[in-house]
Amino acid sequence: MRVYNMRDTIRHSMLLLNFAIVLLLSVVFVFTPSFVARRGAGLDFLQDLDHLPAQPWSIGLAVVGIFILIVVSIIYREKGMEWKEQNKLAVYWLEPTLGLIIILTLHLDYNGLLLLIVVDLIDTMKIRGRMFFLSAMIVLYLLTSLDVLRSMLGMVSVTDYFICYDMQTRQFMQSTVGLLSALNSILFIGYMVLLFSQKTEENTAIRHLNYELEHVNDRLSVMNEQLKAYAAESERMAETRERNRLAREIHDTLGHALTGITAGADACLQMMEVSPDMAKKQMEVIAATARQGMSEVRRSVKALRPDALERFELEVALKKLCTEMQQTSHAVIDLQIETENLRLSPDEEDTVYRTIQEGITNAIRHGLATAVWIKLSCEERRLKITVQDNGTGCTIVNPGFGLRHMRERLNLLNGTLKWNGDHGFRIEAVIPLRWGDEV
Amino acid sequence: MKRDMFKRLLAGILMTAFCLGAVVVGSTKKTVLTIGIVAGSYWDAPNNNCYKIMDDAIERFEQQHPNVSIEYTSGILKRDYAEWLGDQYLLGKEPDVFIVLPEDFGMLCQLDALEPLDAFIEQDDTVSRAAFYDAALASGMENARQYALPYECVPTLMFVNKTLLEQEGISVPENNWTWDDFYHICAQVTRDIDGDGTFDQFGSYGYSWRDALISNGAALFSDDGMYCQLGEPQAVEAIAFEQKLEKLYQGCDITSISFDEGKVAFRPFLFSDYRTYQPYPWRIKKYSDFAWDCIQMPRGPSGGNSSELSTLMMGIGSRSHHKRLAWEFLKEMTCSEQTQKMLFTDSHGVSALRRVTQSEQTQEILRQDTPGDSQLGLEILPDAMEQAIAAPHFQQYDQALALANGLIETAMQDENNLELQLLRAQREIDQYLQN
Repeated sequence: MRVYNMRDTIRHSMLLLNFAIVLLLSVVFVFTPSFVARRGAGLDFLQDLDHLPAQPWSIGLAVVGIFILIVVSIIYREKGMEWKEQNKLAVYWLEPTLGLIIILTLHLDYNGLLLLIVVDLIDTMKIRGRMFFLSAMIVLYLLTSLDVLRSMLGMVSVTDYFICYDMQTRQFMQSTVGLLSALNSILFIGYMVLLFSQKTEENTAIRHLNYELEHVNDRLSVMNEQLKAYAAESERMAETRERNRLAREIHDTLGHALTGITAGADACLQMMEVSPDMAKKQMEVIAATARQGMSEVRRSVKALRPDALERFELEVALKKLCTEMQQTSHAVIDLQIETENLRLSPDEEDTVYRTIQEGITNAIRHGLATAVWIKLSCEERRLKITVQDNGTGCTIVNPGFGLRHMRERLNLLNGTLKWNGDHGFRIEAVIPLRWGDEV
Repeated sequence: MKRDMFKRLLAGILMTAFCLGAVVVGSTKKTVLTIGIVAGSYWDAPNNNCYKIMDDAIERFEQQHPNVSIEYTSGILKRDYAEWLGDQYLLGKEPDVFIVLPEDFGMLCQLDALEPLDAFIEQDDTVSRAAFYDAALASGMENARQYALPYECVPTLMFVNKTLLEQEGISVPENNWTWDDFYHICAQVTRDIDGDGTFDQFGSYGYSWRDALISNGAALFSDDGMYCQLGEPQAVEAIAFEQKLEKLYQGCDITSISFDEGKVAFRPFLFSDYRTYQPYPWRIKKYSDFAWDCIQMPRGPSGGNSSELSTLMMGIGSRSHHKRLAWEFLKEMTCSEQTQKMLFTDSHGVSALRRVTQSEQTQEILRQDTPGDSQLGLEILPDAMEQAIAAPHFQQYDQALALANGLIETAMQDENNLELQLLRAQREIDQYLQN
């Protein structure tokens, strides 16, 4: 849809104006002969001329011509933008040709029509075509302004037609035609000024935008550098965090087991001589501790590399986790995910996975639960994880590795962890989402 | 794509069908050729049926061209004709073939309103320029191009009152008589007969300086109408002769009644008038008291026995749609013996065709109309036609002539410095012509 602007108003006024002028001249050309003939002044009229005046019906060509020109112009303006280049080219030839026919039919008395055609076509042209078109139109305009050409072509000027009217009528007609064509020229100049000032404005705007773009580019490169620094920093921090986590894991799992094993082994050494049976029992305890440590290490390694998460989406991974746990423990695990399309970042997904895994493990191992309910919900950009079991629970909770680690992980994401052991055991973790716009 | 092709094909077929239809309809329709003619005689001679020649020509033409019908508007008088033709041109309804009055010819040429006929004449074996009298053909020429062909001519001849000359004991002059002969006879016959102290018998009436100019090989204007040639020696000579002649009748009031009453020996007369009054009924009515005859004009020292030829022409409108047919009809009017012969029986003019005017049949017709021993028709007419001079026809001719008339009348009053006066007049006329 085109925007209706000032230039369109001028163009439409020019269409109307040119139509009026052509019509006015046509009326003079058509009706003067019969007016003169009725007064019986035909011979006097002819005697003052240098050429035979045109046959009145031939002026019809001008009237038909201006109609076609206006129709073509309107259609071209409304629909022409979508036309093929070939059709546009046809209009570039058609309009000047029609204009020339009309001008010739009206005995070169009105060449302001060329201005209308320039206004009509100029702003849809390409730069090179425009130069050619403009120079061609200027040549045409100059040529059609020549009185010599008129007499060479054997044409009679409308001024000669005016002569046969009385002074008042003649003056009225002459000044009307003069006024209208002057108005046409003024509108043409106005249009051109508007066109070029708009082009200049556009150019200025483009220059301004270019300048801004450069400026922004500079700022962007600075920010890019900063971002790179941040990224490096953040990488370093992540590395540190990861090291801490590793240290924690090693300390929590391997350290704990090795402490137990070392202590048990020392006791064993002393008991060997006193009571070999007791030592043997102690050795079994050590073995058990070592096995437990082994499994802790396995779990830890597994926790460090959550293959499940790498392979599946979080939801699928959680379902798989629940199914596996249910198979090994025979407890009923109910997973209820009330959120859809969670676009969590990897660390968030990891935390969610770990929290639920730890919750189930705790429920089965410590609470001896036979049923676990897990619920994942989201409120006001806060992801809420609830793990409730029907196990033994406990009134006083001594947070072990699992709960502590869970809290640490959550704290890294600015999340919180709450637990309650009154009716079975219940943990509630809340994570504020960073990119949770689509939740 | 296919539909596009189909559309184009359909449009092409429709166009062809339309064109074919137009051609078929056009060819079955009768072509209408319009003619413009003047009612009555151009030379104001009474005429019983002015359209007879035209009607006969049209009938012959329509028989030869069954698909053509010819129309004309009747009743346009000579004085309205120019205005009528102008209006028709203005309205774009001008006739295809029409009579061109000598006074309009210049204007029509300047407006390019007439179709040049040279190409038609060259291509047509039945038409040759040599068939026409030179002066008649020249009347239709402008800038070395033929724009109209002569239809009917009327030369000026000198009427002679035979009875008066006989009474004075003077024989009727020969055809190649000179100004001197003319002057001597005039001087001889101009006298007081009844003895009342004033002249009541005169040598000539109506012999003007224009007649003198032409018969002395001079011309008032150059052919293109740009210059006046009054200062040329022949012109001065001619006007001096006129001045001398006028001096004979100083203080006398000669009118056409004097001639009608048989008191004037010579009077220049249009051939059409001669043809009107010479045949039986008219002759009795007008000049019953004396016998009269026609001879050529007297010649000056540098010229011949020539007079101005008045020629009515026909031309083709430059915007005619049927130029070929128009040419055929123009030929029927101007070059056909049948049409041209009728000028002698049904009009009062002379044919511009040599073979018609000089034919035995024409001579016979003239002889039948002419009583007694009149010389006319036998030798005079062909000679007068051969020696005639075409009148100029540039656009301002009539106004320039009127101006010249006044100036020359004034100049002739000065008996001592005629040449100087004429040069002054020439300057004044030049100024008019060139503005």
